[in-house]
Amino acid sequence: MIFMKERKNKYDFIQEILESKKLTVAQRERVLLLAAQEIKHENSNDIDLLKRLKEIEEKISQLESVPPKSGDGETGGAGSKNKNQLTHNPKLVSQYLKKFKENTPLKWTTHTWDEKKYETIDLFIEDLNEDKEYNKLFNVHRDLYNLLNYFIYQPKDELNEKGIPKYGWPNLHELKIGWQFPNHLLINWCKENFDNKEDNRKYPFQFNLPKELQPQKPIKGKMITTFENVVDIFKTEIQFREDYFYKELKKRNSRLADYKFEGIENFKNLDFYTYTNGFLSALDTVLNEIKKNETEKNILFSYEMQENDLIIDITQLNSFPTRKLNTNNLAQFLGGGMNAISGSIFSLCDFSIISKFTNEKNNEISGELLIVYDGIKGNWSGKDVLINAVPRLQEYNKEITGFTYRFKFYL
Amino acid sequence: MKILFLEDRPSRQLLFLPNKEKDVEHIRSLKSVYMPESNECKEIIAQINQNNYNFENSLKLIIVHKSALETRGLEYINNFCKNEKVKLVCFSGGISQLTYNNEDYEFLNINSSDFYTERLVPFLNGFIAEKSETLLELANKEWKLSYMLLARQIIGSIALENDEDVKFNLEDKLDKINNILSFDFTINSENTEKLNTEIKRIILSL
Amino acid sequence: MKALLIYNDNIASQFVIDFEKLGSTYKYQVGKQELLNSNFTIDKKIDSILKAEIDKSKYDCIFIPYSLSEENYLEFTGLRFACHIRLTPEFNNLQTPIVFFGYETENEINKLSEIGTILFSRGIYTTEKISVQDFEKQMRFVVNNQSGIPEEIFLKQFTERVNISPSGNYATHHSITNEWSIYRWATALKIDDEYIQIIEKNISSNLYFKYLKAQFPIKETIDANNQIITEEGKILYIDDEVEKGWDIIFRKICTLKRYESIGNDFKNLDSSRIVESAITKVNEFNPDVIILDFRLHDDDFENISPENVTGYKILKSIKEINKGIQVIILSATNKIWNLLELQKAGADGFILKESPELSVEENYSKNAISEIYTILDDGLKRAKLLKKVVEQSKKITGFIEGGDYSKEFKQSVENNLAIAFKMLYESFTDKKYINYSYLQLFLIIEQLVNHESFLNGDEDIRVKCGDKEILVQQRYKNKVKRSIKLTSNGKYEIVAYEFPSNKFKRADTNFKVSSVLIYRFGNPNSSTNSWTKIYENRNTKAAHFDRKNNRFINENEIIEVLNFLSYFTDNSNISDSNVAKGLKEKTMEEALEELKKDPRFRK
Repeated sequence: MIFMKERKNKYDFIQEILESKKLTVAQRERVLLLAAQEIKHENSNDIDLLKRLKEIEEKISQLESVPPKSGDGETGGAGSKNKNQLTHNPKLVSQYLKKFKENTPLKWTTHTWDEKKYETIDLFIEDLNEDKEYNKLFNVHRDLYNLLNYFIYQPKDELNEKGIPKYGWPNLHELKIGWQFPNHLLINWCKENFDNKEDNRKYPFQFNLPKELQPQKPIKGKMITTFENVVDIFKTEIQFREDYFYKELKKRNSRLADYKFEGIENFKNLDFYTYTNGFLSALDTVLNEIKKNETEKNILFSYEMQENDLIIDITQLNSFPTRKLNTNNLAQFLGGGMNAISGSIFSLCDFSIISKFTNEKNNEISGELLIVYDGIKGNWSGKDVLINAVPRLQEYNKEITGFTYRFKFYL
Repeated sequence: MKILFLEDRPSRQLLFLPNKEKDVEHIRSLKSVYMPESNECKEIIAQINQNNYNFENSLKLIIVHKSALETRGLEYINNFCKNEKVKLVCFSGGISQLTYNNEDYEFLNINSSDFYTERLVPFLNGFIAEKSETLLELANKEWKLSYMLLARQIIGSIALENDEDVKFNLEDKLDKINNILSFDFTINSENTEKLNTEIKRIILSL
Repeated sequence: MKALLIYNDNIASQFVIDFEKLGSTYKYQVGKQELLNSNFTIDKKIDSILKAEIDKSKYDCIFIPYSLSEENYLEFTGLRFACHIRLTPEFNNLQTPIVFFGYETENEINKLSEIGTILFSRGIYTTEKISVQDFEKQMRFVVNNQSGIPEEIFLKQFTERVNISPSGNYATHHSITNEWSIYRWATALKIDDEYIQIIEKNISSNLYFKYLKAQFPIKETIDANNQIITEEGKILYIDDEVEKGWDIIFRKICTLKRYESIGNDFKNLDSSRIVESAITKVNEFNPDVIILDFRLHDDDFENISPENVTGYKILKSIKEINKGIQVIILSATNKIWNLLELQKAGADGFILKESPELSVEENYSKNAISEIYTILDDGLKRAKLLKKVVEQSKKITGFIEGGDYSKEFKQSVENNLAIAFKMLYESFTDKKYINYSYLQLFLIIEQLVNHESFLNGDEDIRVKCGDKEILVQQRYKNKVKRSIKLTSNGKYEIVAYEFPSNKFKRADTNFKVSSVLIYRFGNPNSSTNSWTKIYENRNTKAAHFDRKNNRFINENEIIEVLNFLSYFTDNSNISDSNVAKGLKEKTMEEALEELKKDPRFRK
C-alpha cells in the first residue's frame, strides 16, 4: 500500500509506483501507458488523480494474480495476448441473456421451480452443464463470463486457510456462492432436502447460507442469508427490471443534489437484459464527467425503443465540449472518462457522443462521435476493458441541445 | 370483470358474514364481481389446478379459497398475478396467522373468519370504485395504523443505517407508505412527533 | 455471554453487523415460493427455523423486534416467534430471557395483539433503545437478574399468563380436537408407529398445539398390552380421514380381532356416493360392530340438521341392513342435540374425541381409552345375539308376508318381534328383560297357532293342512275325543283317546301347537324343533324369573324360539303325511243321537 500523502508532482508519484513494486517489463509499460492517459486529461485534480492512481494500483495487483480458470475455451496464462483480446458484440450478449426468460435450464437458475419440474438436483445440474454457450462470452464480455461461471457453473475452487473461497463474483466479491460453487455446497444440501422428497420438501432457494459465506455487509441494500437472496442479486446483475434502473437514477440524483435530473420518471418499468453493473459504472463515469461543468446543471435522460434497439441518451443541456475535436486525430478527444465509459459498456451497447464540437480549425461541427461500435476490439486487463479502436465521426442532423452520451442496446 | 371470487363452499359465507344472505346477494349483484356457483366454481378450480384456465384480461383481483388449490394451481395463479400485476387474496380455515406480501404483486393470506367480516363488502365496493389503497383494508380495520407503525420502525432504522443502498431502500419504502397514507414522512423531529402522537391517539381509541 | 438477534430487512443493517460482537444473528424472511405452498403456515416456518436453522445452543439473551413482517406490522410475528421459543423444548431456550425491541409500549402491544400478554410473563423484557451499546447493557442486566425455575412450573405459569387461541372459528377437518385426540391417545397407547410420528410432525409445529401440550402434559399411559377385547367378532371403521391416525389407534385397540377400515376414497365422492360405498362394504364384510365417524363429507360441516349429515344417513342404512349391527359413533361434537338424534336413529354408543378442554381432568385419556375397550366389547357381545335375532326375525316376517294373513295380523307380528328385539337390547343392561323378550316371542306363537290358517275351533278343533282340515278334537255330549295324547315323555303323540266331558278344559297352547306340528307339518310327535323345551321354559324360567338363583332365559334359548317361529311360519314345511291320522268326523247317526239327547229337543 502506498501512503496517500499529498503529492503535487504527478510524475514523482508514478515513479514511486514504478520503483516500489516489482514489476515485469510488460507491466511497467502498461503502468506508463495508463499513467500517460490519466495525466493527459486536462481537468484532473489531486483527488481525481489519487483515485485513479489507486485504480492503477489495483490493476497492477490484478496483473500479479491469476484470475480463476474454468471450463472449456480457456488457453494459456495471464500474459497471453490472444486470450485477453475481446470483440465488441452486444448482440451476442443480449441473445445469451434472453435465455434466462425462455424455457431453458438457465431460466430455472433464477425462477422458482414448478413442483414437478425436477425430481432431483442432479438432473437439473446435468441439464445446466450441457449448455456451454456461455463460453462464447469469454472473448466478448469477461465479467459477464465470470459472473456466469460463479453463479451457474464450476469455477476453480481456490480456498483460503479458513476454507472459504478466495474469489467471488466479479463486481460483488463477497458473494462466493453459486449453483455448483463452492464445492457443490448447494447441491449437497439439495440432495438431503429436495431430492425425491414428498413431505417437508425444501427448494434450493430456501437454502440458508452457512455463516462463513454470508457477506458481512448488505449487498445492494439487503443482508444476504438465503440462496434466494443470492438469486435475487444475480437477477439484478443481468437485468434491469421494474424500477431498478429508475431507482439507481434517483440515487445518483440525490448524490448530485444540485443537478436537475429530468425525465427519469419515464424510466420506471424499463425492462431489459444487460450486464447492469457495466452500464451503471458507465453511468457513474458519465455523471462524473458532467460534474466537471458546474454551470450547466440540467441533465436530460431519455430513451427510445426502435424495434429491437433501445437507445438511451443522457444529455447535459447547454453544455458543449471545450476540448477541440481534431478531425485528423479523433482519438485525441477521448480522455480517461470516455475510455472508462467505453470499457464499462464494451459488448453491452454501442457508445457515442453527440454534440456541437469545435474542430482544429475552430469551426463548429455537429456530429455523432462513435466511440464503441460494431466489430471493435478491446483488451482485458484483468479488471477492465481497454478499447482498441479509433472513434468515427458521422453526421448528426437532429437538434442538438447539449452534450449527449448515447448508448445503443440491441435487445 | 374486475374481481374473480372463487368460493367452493358458499354456506361458509352465510355462516360468517354479518348480514348473511343480504351480503351474499349484494356481492352477487356487483357487476364487476364474478362469483360462480358451486359446480361451475369447482370446475374453474379444477382447471386452475390443471394449469389450463384462461383468466380474463380485465381482471384486477382474484379471491380464492386456498385449500381448494393444489400447489400446482397456486403456482399457476402466482405466475398470472406476477405477470399481469393482479392482486391475490387466499383465505382458508387452516391459516393461523395472516400474511401479507407485496414483492411482485399484492398477496394476502388470511383466515376465513377474518376474511368474512363486515369489512368485506365495503372493501369490494371500494375496490371496484378504485378507491382501495391496499389489501390490508380487508384484514384489519386498523390497517392505517399498521402502516404508521411500520413507518416508525423504518424511520428508526434509517437513523441507524450507514449503507447507502439499504438507506435508499428504506426511504423508498417510506415513500410508498407516504403515498398510501398521504402522510409526510420527511424525516425530521416535527414529523416524527406528529407520527407518534397520531399512533398513540389511534391506539388509545381502540 | 452469547446473544441471539432475530431481524428482518426493516432493521438497520449496520445495527445487525455491529450486533455480531454480542452473538449471532438470524434473518427472518418468507420467500414467495414458501408462501405459495399449499401447506405453508407461519407456525411451520417458525418451528422449522427453531428446530433446524438456528444454532440450538443456550443463549444468554434473545432479542426480537415486535414485528418481523416486512409489510404488515400488526401481524406481530415477533411475538409469535417468542411464543414458539417458550413452547418448543427442542430449541433448548425455554427460559432464556427475551428482549423485545420497538417503539411501542407494552400496553399498546397488549391492546393490538391477542398474544400481547406474553410481555407480562416471566423472563420477558422490552426496550425502546435500539443500539448495540444499549443491548449490551440490557443483556448484562437481564443475565444478572434471571434465575431458572423448574421447567414444569415455568410452563404452567406461562400457559396461565399467555392465551393462545386456535385458528379461527371454522370447524373443519383440521379442527384441533381431531389431532389433539390422536396425539393424546396414540401417546397413551404407546403407539410408536412411524405414521403417527408423521402426523405428530405435521401438527406439532402448530403453536396452539404446543400450548396445549404444555398445558396438559400426558403423565399416565395405558398399557395396551394389558387391555384386550375379549369378545369375538368383526369390527369395521368408517371414516373419510382414516389415514389421519385413527386407523392406527383402532387397529391397536382391536388387535387380534378381524378389523378393517374404509374411507380413503371418500374425498372425491359426494354424500350419497359415500353412503353407497360404505353400505357396500358393510354388506361385503358383515361386521358386528362399526365405528362410524359422524362427519364424512365437507358439506357435513355446514350448519345442517343432523339427519342430513352423511354419518347419520349411513347409520340409518346400516340399521336397515341389520339393526343388530352395533354402530358406535366417533365424533368430536359436543352438541347434545346431535348425539340425541343419533341415539334416536339407533346409535349404540359414542366415542367422544378428546378435545383440549377435557384434558384438564387428570387421567382423562387413559379413562377414555379404557372406555373404548368396554364399548367395543359390549358391542361385540350385543351384536353376537342381536344380529342373529334380526336375521331370524326377517325370515319370519318374510314367511308371514307370503302367507294368507290380514294386514293387521302381519303388522301385529312385526310389532311383537320389534318389542322382543327391544327387550333383548335392554337385557344387556338388566337381565330380566331377556325373560320378557322370551314371553313376547312366545306370544307370537300363540298368535299364530290361533290363526285360522293354522287351526280353528274351540270344542271341535281342526288343523289346516293345505286345503284339508284334520279333526284333532271333537266334543261330544258326554265325552271329548282327541287324536293326540300327551305321553309320559312330555310330548304329544298320535294316540286317539277320549275323556269324559266334565273333564273338558279348553285346549291349551301346547295341545294346539302340538296338533299343528303333527298334522300340518307332518311330524311324528310334538318334540320337534325343541317345542317341548320351549313350552316348558315359558312356564318356568320365563314366567317367574328368579334373580336370586340366577334362573334366566339364556341367549341360546332365545334363538331356539326364533328358530321355532321360523319353522312354524314357513309354509314349505307343510306336509300331509299325517293328514289321514286325525279323528274321524262324527257320523250323521252319531250327530243325530247327540241331538236327540239334547234337552232342548226333549218333549
